[in-house]
Amino acid sequence: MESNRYENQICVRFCVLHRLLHIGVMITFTLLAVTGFALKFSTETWAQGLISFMGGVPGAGWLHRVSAAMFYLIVMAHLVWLGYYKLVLKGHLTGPHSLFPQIKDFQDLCQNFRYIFGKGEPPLFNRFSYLEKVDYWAVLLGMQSMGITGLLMGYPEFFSTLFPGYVINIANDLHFHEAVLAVGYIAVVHMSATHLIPEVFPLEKSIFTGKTTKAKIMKDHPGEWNSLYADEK
Amino acid sequence: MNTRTCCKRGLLFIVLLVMGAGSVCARIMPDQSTWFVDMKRFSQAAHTGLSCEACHGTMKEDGRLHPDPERPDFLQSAAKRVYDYARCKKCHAKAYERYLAGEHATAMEKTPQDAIKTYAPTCGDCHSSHYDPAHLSRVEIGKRMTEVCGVCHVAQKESYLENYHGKAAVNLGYDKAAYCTDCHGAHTCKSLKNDKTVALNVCHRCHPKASEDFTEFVIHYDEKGIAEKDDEKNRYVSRIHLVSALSLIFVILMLCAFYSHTFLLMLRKIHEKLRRHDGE
Amino acid sequence: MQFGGGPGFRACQTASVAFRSDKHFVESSTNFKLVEPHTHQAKDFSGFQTRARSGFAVSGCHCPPFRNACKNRASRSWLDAYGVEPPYKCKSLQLIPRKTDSMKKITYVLIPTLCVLAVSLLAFLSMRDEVPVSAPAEALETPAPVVTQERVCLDCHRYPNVNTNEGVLTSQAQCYECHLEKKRSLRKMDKRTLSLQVTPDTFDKNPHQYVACIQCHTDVARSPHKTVAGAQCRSCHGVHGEGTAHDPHLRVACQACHRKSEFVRLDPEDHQIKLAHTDDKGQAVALTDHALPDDVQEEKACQKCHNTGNKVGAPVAVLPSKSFLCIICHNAPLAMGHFIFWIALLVFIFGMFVMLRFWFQGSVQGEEESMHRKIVLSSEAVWETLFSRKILHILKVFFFDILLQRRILKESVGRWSMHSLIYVAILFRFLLSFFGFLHFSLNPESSWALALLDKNHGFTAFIYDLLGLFILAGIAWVMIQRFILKPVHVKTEIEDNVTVALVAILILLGFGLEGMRIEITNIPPDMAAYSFVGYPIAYLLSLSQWDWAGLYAYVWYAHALAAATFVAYLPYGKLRHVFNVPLTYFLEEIAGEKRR
Repeated sequence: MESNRYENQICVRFCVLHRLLHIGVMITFTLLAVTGFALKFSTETWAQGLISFMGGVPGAGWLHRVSAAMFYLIVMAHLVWLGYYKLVLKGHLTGPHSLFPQIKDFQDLCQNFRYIFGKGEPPLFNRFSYLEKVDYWAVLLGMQSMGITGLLMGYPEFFSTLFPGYVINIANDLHFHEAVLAVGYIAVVHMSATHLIPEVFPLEKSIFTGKTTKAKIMKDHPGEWNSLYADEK
Repeated sequence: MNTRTCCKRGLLFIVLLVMGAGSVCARIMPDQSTWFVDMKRFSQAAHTGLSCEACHGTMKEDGRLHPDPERPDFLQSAAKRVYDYARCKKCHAKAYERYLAGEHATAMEKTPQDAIKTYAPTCGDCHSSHYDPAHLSRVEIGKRMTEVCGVCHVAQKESYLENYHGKAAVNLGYDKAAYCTDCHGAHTCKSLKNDKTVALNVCHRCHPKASEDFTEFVIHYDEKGIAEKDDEKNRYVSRIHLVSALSLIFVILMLCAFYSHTFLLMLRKIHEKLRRHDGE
Repeated sequence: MQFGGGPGFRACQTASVAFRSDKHFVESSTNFKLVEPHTHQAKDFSGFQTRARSGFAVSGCHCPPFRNACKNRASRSWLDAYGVEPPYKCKSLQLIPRKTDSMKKITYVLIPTLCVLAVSLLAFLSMRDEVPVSAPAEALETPAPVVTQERVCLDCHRYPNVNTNEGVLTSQAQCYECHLEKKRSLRKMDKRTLSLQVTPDTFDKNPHQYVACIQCHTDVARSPHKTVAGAQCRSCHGVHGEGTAHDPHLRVACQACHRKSEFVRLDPEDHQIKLAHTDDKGQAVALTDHALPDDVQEEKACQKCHNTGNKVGAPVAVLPSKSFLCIICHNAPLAMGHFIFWIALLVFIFGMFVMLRFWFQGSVQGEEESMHRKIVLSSEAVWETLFSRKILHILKVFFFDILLQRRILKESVGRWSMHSLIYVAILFRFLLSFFGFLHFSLNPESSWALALLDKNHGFTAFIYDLLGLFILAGIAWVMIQRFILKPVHVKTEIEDNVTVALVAILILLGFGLEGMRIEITNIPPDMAAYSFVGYPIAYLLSLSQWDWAGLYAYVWYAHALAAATFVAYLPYGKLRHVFNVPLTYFLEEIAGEKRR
């Protein structure tokens, strides 16, 4: 079979910076979720135990803020990299191989539903599938909203001079809802779409090793395959 | 205990261990307002050094022997209503003065004498003179205070515990966060809703840089706890609830959409894998 | 004989421990017998009476038999030691003794003599202008003048330990001070005068005679002197399950069934059915007799509520309890219930037997003829499989192919979804019900057990409705497949139709019953809203003025009959696959394993 030829051919999917940033996001996101939910559900014994393990309220609060700052630094680092990619490497920030949303993503979604209901073939994804794009944009945009509401709650004295005081109440609710969405999304959708689907179960290693096989690209991202390695065929 | 109960208890213990489910135990605790004084607890309380007469006077004090069935209010008067709390002043002069200057005493004057259900509290309603222990820490006092105030101010207690202040101070025992009286004043129990400058002074105790707009932050944002005529606060709260409800609907819709997508996709993929497995 | 630390005292102490577990620990008979709860040996303290009479002071002993001995000085000095005032003594002395033959003798012979003696003694003493410190015990039987003695606060206001007999007696004595006299225990209630008189001649006949008043009436000992919560049963007694009563009875107060008074009412505030303080004609009913009926399990006891035109929202008929067979879908008691379930069980067992015979008709490991050999060989094979590594494969098959239905998913996603809607929902209902049954049997007081037992509990109502709806959706899907779409590969036989119809009828009747239950018991909407299927049905039913309370029993029996038919039909119709298919999978797995 054709794919066997590429089974052992390794190519790089994520550069070292991206691997590092992903690990950073993993750690800070987990810390943020744990400390945040421990405060939200502070009537529960597990939450009280966790908080006292982290040094009580001041310790947990410090950890939450520091993790948030680290998370935001990671986002900034990524934005800097985007500038570098555009200006120095002359890459394209939009287009079929970027993470920028395309009309094709919507078509892929429809095609995927046809496939889900057994009425067609799976869609031919480009370099990033629409679900991967949602992963990316959820973090990038969600981070902004979490950051803003978090800052509002962290520095209420300052922000209440700019907005009415009850905006801080709103920020509090939004921060929690957004956190539920983020954790609910990551824990179920991201995890199952990357690790649990039968093809890769139990673990997708490419985000840590950065490497993947050509056969895998051919299967998961045939659109990319067609444009990048078309000459190899 | 016979063998059968032993076995039952043992099994129950295992089940409880496995599931971590607690059982509801009915305990008989003397209520604080009964005729009886639990000497075991009294002996550990702050007032244990005092004799009964020191606070209650002798049994013949008002000229009649104490259990007097002939009195018109015999068995009818509420003990906490008829007690002469001026006796507390003897030792707790400062607290007594502050109470008289406070909101509860003002409300007390307005309350008709026979209105049992709507009465304003006096000393004995918040403090158990027989059982309150002495020398509690700030956190212990704060936790008890939240319970005591919450008996009447239910909505306020709940919203306070939903707020960062309550979570840190009561749930997590952080002694630098504010308890009820840190804002409302011990024994004065002032409402802060009418005067923004008063409220701001209160906020300044912990937030020295706060401006007047800072007081618009709604701590007790449960609708049940807000007076109907307090238009400004009601407007704020309705806006908070509106935005909150919208964002909650958004979150639920997003999660439903993504979860069903993932579930259906997984089903299809597993089905295909099983098919492929068969083909090999 | 030192009672303070002697064997008698130990016996008393163990007695009060056993008391908390509601055992009747003491049988006080004629002459102060103490029965130890562990050994059941009776200790005879007959000699005690005479000794005590001679003025022996007893301290630190909390024996109920002293109730009988109240006539003597010993008990008085005991009462003195525990700070109970002379007026109490008088009352308790007159009331508490349960007259026995020997005591009657004492009463008839001794009392008049002693009275005469006492009166003459008193006369003599008064002539000498000296008053005795306390009157002789026997004199108290006559209406003697109340001995006024300076009380101290803690004589009355010390909280009695109701777990000791001393505390029990103190508590009873204190209440009797007022509630014994009719004049002092009259109360106005809803503009009607009610007698709250309690007399020992009725109270001492009830099983709670050794229980402190304030153990049950937890909120009365206060001023103003009134109760809000009523008598508390559950501080000592656990709730009981459906064995004798259906689970909607969770909103019926204990007293409504377990007291003799036949007047009940629905308290709109907490939506509980309680004893009424007035009878049919609005006359006040005194509930102070503390009388319990002989047998609450008799149908007559149920007819208090279950009668035509009752106002508490009870179905008119007294229905039997659910059967244990119902545990497939409902929380059920360990009982067979109505006899149709016996028939269903017998038919089911017979069917299983026939099915087993059918399985053994083929050859087993080459054996064709002897049934005995076949059974020996196959049981040997099962045994070897169970205790070998093959069991791991079996478990794997059980998990993937039976629980998760892997093979059906392999065939088609649609079929898997359709089958899972029905099967997973039933499985979950069974697991929840079984868990609830188990948990309730082990610990009826746990909040989990009560939540699962209570059909109106938010979680239980929601999850059972949701799962029921799943089954209904699955059945609807099946029907559309079989009767409308009719794909080529689907063959519809009469057996399939019967099975599908049976399950559909079962579920529809169930939802109908739920709606009727909500409608007739008039559950408040905020509670009923969790039954998101049942509540709309209840609303629809409420639009018509049918006698749903009367109809409920018929629908209930129809549902029960459908359930019994379902169980009985299991080994005969298409539902046979519940047993056949897993067995086939296991056999295939073992055969495949052998080949490998």
